[in-house]
Amino acid sequence: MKDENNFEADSIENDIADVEHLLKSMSLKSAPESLDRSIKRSVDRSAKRGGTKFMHSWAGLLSLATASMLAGLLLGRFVVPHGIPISRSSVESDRVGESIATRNSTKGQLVQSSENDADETSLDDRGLFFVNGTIPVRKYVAHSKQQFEVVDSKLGTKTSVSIPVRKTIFAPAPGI
Amino acid sequence: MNKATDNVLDSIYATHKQGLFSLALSISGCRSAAEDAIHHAFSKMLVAELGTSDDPVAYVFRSVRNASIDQQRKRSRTKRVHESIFNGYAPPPKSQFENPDARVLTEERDQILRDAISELPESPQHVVLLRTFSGLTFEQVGSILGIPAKTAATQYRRALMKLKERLEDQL
Repeated sequence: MKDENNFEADSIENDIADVEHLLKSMSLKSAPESLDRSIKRSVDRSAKRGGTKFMHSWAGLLSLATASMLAGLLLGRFVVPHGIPISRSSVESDRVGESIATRNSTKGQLVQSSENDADETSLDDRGLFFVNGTIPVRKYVAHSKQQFEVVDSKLGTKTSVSIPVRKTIFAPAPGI
Repeated sequence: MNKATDNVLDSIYATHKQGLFSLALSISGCRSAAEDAIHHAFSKMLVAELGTSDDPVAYVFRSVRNASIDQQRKRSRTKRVHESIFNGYAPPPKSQFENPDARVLTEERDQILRDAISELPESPQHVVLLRTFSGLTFEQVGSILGIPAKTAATQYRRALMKLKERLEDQL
């Protein structure tokens, strides 16, 4: 009886090892190179900042919030760094009318989507810049995925696509 | 964030990028969304401190998983096709398969496995993914999914037995 149990346990272990082997031989979709580049950029930027924990300090948060609100007032909307969507109109107009080719070979012009659904937007802080060498401003780049429709130039059919859009925003530097 | 932590995150990314991408893709079902989730998670981790009590690899995987789940919740209103984490069947070099039947069988077997994995409940699916494709320990897998290591091990064994049964039933 004991031998039978051992045999059964061995057989289960073998089955598991077989499936494990099969799974490991399967090909996974690989991570895109653009991801490598974006992670490297983030790490490099963080390394350049060194030991500063600007985002974590109260003064930093307060200054960033002030900058965001001022940027919002300047641009006619409320801008909050990281995670909170900025208004759709700020990004979608940038690419309407552009000619693109989609992965399934539809070629045509981008029109605004009827779904009108903007995906999450993230705001990248690109550091301090000086306008005319004297006025300090902070540069942010808003990245977003936006639903568009592509009107096929030959067939006239519409295909829905989600493409990245970006917008550069300048805001008064914190504390100014 | 100090330079040592930057280096830790950089090296974890270099070692586990495939596993991180597969995990994010299995949750979001879309390559670009998976890419965004990983980038978002790393951006957040780069301004935070790594906890000393936690395994850094588990911490990074957990952050990417949470970012993917958050993103998926925000995107759930949009109807999308869920993209598989696996590539389609790519025929091996001709010399490997003298017999065309063997080729068809392999193709069919891979398809069954791909389907069977995607049909597993979320938790066992992630356990299989993290254990098999990222080579993590059950302690790490448990820490990422918020379950005890023993539960992760049990789910893994059951999931693999289920896959084995599916293969036996259909081949």
